[in-house]
Amino acid sequence: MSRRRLDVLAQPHHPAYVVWELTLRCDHACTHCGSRAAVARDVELTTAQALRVVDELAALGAREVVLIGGEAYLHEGFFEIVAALARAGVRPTMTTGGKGITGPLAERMATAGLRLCSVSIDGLRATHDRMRASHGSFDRATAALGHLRAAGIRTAANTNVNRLNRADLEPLYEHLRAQGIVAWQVQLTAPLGRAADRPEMILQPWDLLELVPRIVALKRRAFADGIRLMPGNNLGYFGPEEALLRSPTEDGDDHFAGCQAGRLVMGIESDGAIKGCPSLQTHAYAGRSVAEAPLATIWADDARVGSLRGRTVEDLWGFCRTCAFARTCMGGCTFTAHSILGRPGNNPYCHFRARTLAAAGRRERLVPLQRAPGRPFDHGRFALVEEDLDAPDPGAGLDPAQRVALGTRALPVLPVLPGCDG
Amino acid sequence: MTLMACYGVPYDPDDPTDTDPTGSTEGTAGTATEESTAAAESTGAAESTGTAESTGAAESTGSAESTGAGAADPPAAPR
Repeated sequence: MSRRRLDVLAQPHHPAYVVWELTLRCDHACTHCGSRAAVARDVELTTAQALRVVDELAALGAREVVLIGGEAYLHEGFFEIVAALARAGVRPTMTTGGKGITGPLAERMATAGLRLCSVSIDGLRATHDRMRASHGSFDRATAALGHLRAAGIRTAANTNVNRLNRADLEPLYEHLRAQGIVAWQVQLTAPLGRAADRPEMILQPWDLLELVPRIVALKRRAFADGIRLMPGNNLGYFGPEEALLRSPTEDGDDHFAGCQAGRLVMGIESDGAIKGCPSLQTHAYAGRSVAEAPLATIWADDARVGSLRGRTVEDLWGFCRTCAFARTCMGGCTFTAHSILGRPGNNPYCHFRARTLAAAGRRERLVPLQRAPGRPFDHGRFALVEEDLDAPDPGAGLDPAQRVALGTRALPVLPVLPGCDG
Repeated sequence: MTLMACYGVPYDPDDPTDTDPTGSTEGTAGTATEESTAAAESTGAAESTGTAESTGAAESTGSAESTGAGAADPPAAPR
């Protein structure tokens, strides 16, 4: 049986799946980065502190820890932390941009105990390099996949999908398949962090009408190739192919069963702050730091960390409040909904919703209202305009440079109050 | 359901190192239960396309509630 596929409704809350940002220092400064990574936070956990966290995670029943950044390998204690996780019986994995992964580095990662590593590749060369704001990034990431494989590490890829790169998906799959990946995670670029500054990059909700079927078709091909294409939690929900999209096997019956942030998923920011999910907005969801209190205490008692555990349908609003899947879906991905409308519980990035509206000749369009303040894991705010399905698309026909252009400078800044949902 | 996160790694069910450290047999959980499947089939929700036919999905939710499974009983995923 697997560490990652659980009875999410029957499990008592514990951090089974942990995503840990070791440092915000990064060798990229990507245009869509939710944490606005590049430079380390003012204060980050030391190696000694991080090794204590490893023990605390093991005691809490953590099954898998994904090390991220920034770039996790830029933390001075990276190899020690990987090795400590492996010794503690917590499966260490990693998501990386791959820019600095050489053959020798991959060998050290394998020796430390890393067995699965996912490299973020977001399009073919021109698109990826534009999105990553780094010439040569695509070639470095592709080379990293080769170095990791040569070191005996199973390789996977992550892709953020948006209006800049969506046309690349099918040829990108061919590229990734040729590199020998075993799994591919596809997710939507939500307007979080730097992506919030680029409203022409992100998808409009009706884009899911053509995008989701393409991803489903790719998943069928991937099954035939022995590759597992899995959707990120913010891609779905409940379209005609939900079971195929969400299941790890072709005959599976899985479906989205609600956001597990703070229930079975934990995020750790590099300063030690604990969140229910790595992507959640810091100002609204980050609890205390492990530098201040034991992890078990924070997980059990911190109101922000546990803020999503007791939600009911009464907490939903808008379309999601009346949706037939409300009890099961609970408004889809929390951070994505929050990044669009300023609070969770109503998520326009939904295939079922887009199809329901389209059947009535309607669609929803996101219009930016307020810009993000410019902090890690922040967000702006959008208005949701319902209009005819065939209304003109103001964002159609833009070139790639326009897609990544900063497009919110003229807007007022979203005020951020401590403890406020924005 | 498979636990995923947007900064996470893709799920690889064929990974020989990916085994449950607790030895639990809960791996099939999160899939449609027999109850929900039966409820869905009885309402025809399994044939719902999830759009104009979404009333079938709504019916399946009602059926799920009638089984007493409540939120723990997932509605049928439209096929």
